[in-house]
Amino acid sequence: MLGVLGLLIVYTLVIWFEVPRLRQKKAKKELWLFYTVLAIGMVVSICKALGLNVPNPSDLSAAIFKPISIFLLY
Amino acid sequence: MGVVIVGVRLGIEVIARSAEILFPWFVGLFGLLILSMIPQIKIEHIQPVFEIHPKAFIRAVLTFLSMSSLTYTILLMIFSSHTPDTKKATQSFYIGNIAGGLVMVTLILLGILVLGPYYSQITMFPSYELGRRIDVGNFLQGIEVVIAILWFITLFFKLCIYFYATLLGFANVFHIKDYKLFSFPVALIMITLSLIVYPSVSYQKDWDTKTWIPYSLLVGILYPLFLLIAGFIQNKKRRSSNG
Repeated sequence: MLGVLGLLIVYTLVIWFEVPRLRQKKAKKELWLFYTVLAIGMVVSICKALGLNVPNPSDLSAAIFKPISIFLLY
Repeated sequence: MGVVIVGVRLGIEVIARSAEILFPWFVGLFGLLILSMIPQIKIEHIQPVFEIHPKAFIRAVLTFLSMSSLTYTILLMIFSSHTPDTKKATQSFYIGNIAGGLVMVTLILLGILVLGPYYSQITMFPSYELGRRIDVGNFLQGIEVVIAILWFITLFFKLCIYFYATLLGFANVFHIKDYKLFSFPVALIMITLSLIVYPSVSYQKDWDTKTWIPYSLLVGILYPLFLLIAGFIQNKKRRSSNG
């Protein structure tokens, strides 16, 4: 719970620092992209802070590359 | 990571000049390590010599290459667009490559000669063990903080380059001029990912030895090779359509 709270504070600070400049410049594409990346980061970090089992991208690369390495090296 | 964010937001020249400033520290501390290890070398640790099993040999060579050379693809993403002088740039790239490889070879050699092959295989951080045995004239003993400082400096620049390459690539995919905007979200994703990707040390060891080597071959050799071939074909087409 404390972790989620700290993360929300951090994300609020990030938005507070970056968005006013973007709103002034009226850059819609950059604002959209900023919010998208921030949303992805928020979802993943809050899931990790709550202790849920986040899928591991290196599992994917291990599934692809392990047979090659076993064939090549062992 | 906060230091990396500040560094990247300040720009790549700032990072390069801070590398210039921190470089003598690195050389000095590394020289101190080498000079204080030389009296403690036991030459009989280098045996057995010239015993080569082909698969073990390929494994050793590929492990070394994957750690030191095959990661240069990411550096090259930002390198060629920031250096207008091509001849000097290629020269400094080669010198950097050779110097980095030499540092690694020296560390491995020192590890084997001082600690012996068995102990340098077992410990998780053999260079930290080396640092524990520093003995300068019976006065400065056991200053393994030297190795920790070396790690701080080198890890900072590695993180800066990877982070900067990520930000630049991301901003160029969507044709956005200001890459500094995305430093905070991407940094937060990076911090979270660093906790997710290596759940335990045994997973890390297994991944480093088995999965990283073919992955680095793909990213470090095959991908630049394809880009090179694509560049040649494009050049040929351009030349034949011009002439």
